Amino acid sequence: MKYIAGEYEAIVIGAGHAGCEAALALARLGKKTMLFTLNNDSIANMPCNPSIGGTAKGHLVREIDALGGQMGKIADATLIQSRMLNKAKGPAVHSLRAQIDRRMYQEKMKHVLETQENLDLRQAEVTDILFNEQNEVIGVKTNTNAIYNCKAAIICSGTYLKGKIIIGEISYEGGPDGLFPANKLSDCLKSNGIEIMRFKTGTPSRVNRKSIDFNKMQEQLGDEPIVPFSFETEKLNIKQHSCYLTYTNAKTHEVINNNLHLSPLFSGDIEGTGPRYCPSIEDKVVRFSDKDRHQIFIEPMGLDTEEMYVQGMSSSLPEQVQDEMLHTIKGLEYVKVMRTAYAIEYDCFNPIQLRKTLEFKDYKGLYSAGQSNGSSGYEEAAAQGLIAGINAHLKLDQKESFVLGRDEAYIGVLIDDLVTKGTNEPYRMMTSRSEYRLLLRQDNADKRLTPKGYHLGLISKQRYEKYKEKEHNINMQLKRLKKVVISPKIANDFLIKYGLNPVKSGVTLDALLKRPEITYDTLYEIDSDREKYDIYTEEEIEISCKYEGYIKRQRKQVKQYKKMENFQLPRDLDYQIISGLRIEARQKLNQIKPVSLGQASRISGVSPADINVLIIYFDQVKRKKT
Amino acid sequence: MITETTIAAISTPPGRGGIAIIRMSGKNAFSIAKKVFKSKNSFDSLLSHSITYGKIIDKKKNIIDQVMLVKFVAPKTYTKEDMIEIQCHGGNEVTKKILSLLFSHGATPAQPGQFTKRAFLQGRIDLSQAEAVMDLINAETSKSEKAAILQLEGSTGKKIKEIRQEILDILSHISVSIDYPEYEDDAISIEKTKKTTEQIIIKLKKLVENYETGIIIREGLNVAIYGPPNAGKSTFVNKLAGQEKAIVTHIPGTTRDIIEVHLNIGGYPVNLYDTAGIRKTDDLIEKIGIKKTINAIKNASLSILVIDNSEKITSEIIELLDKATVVVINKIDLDKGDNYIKYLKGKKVIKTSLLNNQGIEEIEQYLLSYIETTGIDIEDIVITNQRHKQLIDQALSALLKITKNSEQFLDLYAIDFHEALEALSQITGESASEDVIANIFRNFCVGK
Repeated sequence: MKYIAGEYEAIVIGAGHAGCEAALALARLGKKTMLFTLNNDSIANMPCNPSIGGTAKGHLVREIDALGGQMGKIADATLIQSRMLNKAKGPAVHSLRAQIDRRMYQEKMKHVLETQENLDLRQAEVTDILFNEQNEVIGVKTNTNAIYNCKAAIICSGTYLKGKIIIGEISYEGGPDGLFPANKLSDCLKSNGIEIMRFKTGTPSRVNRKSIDFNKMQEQLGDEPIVPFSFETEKLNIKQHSCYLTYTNAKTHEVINNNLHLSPLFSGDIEGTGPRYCPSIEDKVVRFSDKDRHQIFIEPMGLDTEEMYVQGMSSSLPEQVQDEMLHTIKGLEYVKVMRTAYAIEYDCFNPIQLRKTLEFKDYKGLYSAGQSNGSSGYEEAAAQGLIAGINAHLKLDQKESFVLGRDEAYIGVLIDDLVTKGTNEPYRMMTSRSEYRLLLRQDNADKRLTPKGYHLGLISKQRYEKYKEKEHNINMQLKRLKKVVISPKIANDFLIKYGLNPVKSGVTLDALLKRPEITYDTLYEIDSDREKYDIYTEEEIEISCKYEGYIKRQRKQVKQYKKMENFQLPRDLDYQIISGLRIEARQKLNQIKPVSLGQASRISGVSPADINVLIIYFDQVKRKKT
Repeated sequence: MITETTIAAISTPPGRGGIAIIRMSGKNAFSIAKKVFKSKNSFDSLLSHSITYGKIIDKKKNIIDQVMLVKFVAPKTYTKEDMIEIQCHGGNEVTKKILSLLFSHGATPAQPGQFTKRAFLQGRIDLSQAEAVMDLINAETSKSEKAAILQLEGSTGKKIKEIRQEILDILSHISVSIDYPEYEDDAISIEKTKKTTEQIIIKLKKLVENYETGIIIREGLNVAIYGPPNAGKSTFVNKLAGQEKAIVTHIPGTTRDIIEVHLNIGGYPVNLYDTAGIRKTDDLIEKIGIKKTINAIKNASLSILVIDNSEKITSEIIELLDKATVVVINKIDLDKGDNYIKYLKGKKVIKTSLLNNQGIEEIEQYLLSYIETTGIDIEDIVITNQRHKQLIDQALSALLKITKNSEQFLDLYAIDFHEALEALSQITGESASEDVIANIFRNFCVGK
């Protein structure tokens, strides 16, 4: 028998990385919130890599933190190795990546949820979303027939919807990491008219540390000192743990090639679209047959476990073949597998059904965030969860929505790409997807987003004041660098020391720092009276000064971009009536209903000529009115 | 947002006409015109809507053409912006030169229908015509796209696509290095990036360097016809043209000026220049004519010497023999016994009796094979589309920045590569950003 079990302003379905951020944001902004999970013991799970961050993903974590999200803080508290990637490739692409103690991360996140005011956490499977006749969310129903009334629901179902596990010719219904799937919710949504896609991803095996011969592998150490993810984490002094690198070889490839016919990927048993950036080992061996080896990283799963993650060996080959190929690898000759690699197929939503707020266009109060939107990765999920949570809150308060531009954050790029272009494989964030990456650096995420987080109410006054002080110091120093002129005598001793040509007249500190060979640190030699700040402030001073030219160039491009973004388009327009548009453009525009001319221009199938037609059309409308 | 740029385009239909008209519209129309147009009175003093005679001069102060210019002061103009109309001599070469001069001073190529679009947006065109304007934009665009695609189908298009792919490959390499730093095998060094860039620059430069010559060839093979008076030069031209373009008489010295005849041989444009007969003369006008002949020979790609089999050779002709690519011995029906042969060693000789239509086919065959053999080169180097030229220039300037860059971080090179890729993608009509990511996954084995 159905019964009314509770009354909430917002309900979040799924307590993965998206769900946790969404629920926390809502509760922190004062909304009475319920967070449902299939299993209280698998909150904030990492069913794939035991790591957070990486290129572009590290940027996302910093942005989440700068807006007042949780991921960065828990990662800092539970990391067991940290590296800053790409230090030699340019300031915009420095990326934090950390190995995480997976269990500790889950426990800490769970505890944060449990102690959060306004937030209830409950184990249950949500099977139905309840709508009224206007397609507005009015509640959800669980598998125990309990009904919870609400005005907003955020689906963060990850890879659980109709999850199907595939290992060789074996396949069964299942969620990730041996958990149950959620089989009912996607049918409910489908019957309401929501378009469902079928995606596929996979994860490699986990093996026991004691069965690995690390002497045959290269050790990979963490970086010192550790740069934390969160702008609020002061300092991290922990003992770091290593990862190890080994390679596949001709024997491995032979085993794979001999057994290819047993792979469901090649026999056609898997129908879901897998990501190109996460190919299984059999995929790699087939597609890149000229490569005689592939990298394999062995990563620790945590401190209190001997389980190790075998990155690079994602596979859906039968179990016995997996064992055989692992045993061909240097250092893994006698390895004992603890969990078999598997592929997983799952239902997700075509993200072009969503607004930039992650609310469904045709269903008021229904949101979706994370892998259920066709993305991939913990960080991408968390970022969407945060944005969905913030927007559900704003909508409940009837306030203006919160949307980040492509010029403001990787989060903005991520969501704009998903809802504008859609995706035909799980979408991974990459620095190459951003047009303005010199502006979207990980060091200045606070500058870009913390004021916004403060105005939303997710950043404390104290943190905001601290941020403002940092900004003030940076700006002061930048001005000073431009003002202080160094005499040729002093400058030339300095320049010659660093192998540079001397100057004839006085030169500013700013000009000196702009030379590739000079750093803010070395500049101290001739500017020793300067104020001393923490390393993050000094890093930002250095980058802002050194790359001023590039930054200005990108700002100019942003100005162009903004003009197109500020040209707003009505949501209710039927593009079929605009005769000048090509047929394909009319259909695509009707499907996406872009909010701005800029968004329209990014839809595949809408040409520059179509954009011109739109400009004329709207001018005509405007003139008819006046 | 729409009217910030100053646009320019040729407004008259392509091809040869007596005059051509170039239009320019936008806030910088006057400042650009001021830089290229020199007339008796200063540009600023010219009245709106009145026509002025003057010269177009390029950046090196060379005169490109003598033109009539009309200044239209906003808002009483078609687009309601400041506008300039330049009436110059017809013929693609001059017109395109003037247009590219305007671009080099900051004008941008007008998109199809853009003048009309501006006229509409400024309220010049009636609301009832809005739909027509919208239809026009897509129609014109598809027309010009079709034209551009046709041009791209040749080896030029292939070349540009190849170069674009090379840039795409470098950019993908950079992106892989950045997005997958753990795959050290696939890393690319700045040095290597620069080296490859230098090679790309050479290729692109070759494409645009040949822009001017490309046009000349595309617009026809220039053939000068010369020889002693009354040898049959004009008959030669008329027979090839199949109609009486040149005046043919038996009075020596009839052709005193150069007569230009445009033909189509096997689908290729050929321009014949029928010149004055060369002989000793005291006639001043004829002397000028002969001088012109010598100039025409200099400017032509191919020179055909027509001589009369029945006449004696003169010293003037022997002097000019060297310059001939082909020697046509006419009037072989009036056989007086090969009296030129000893001078013609190593020359291509075609014997004709033009009045009897004998040998004409052989001449046509020869011209065709000449075009087709040298034509392989021609196709390869031709960039004829002004817009393509401008986009290649854009790509070039971005790539040149890379070779001059001394930054030590790979990422800082990506910006300029992107700009170059973006420019070439506009020619080939491909999407730059999507292709980089697709290219990464196609060519690199990365990912967990």
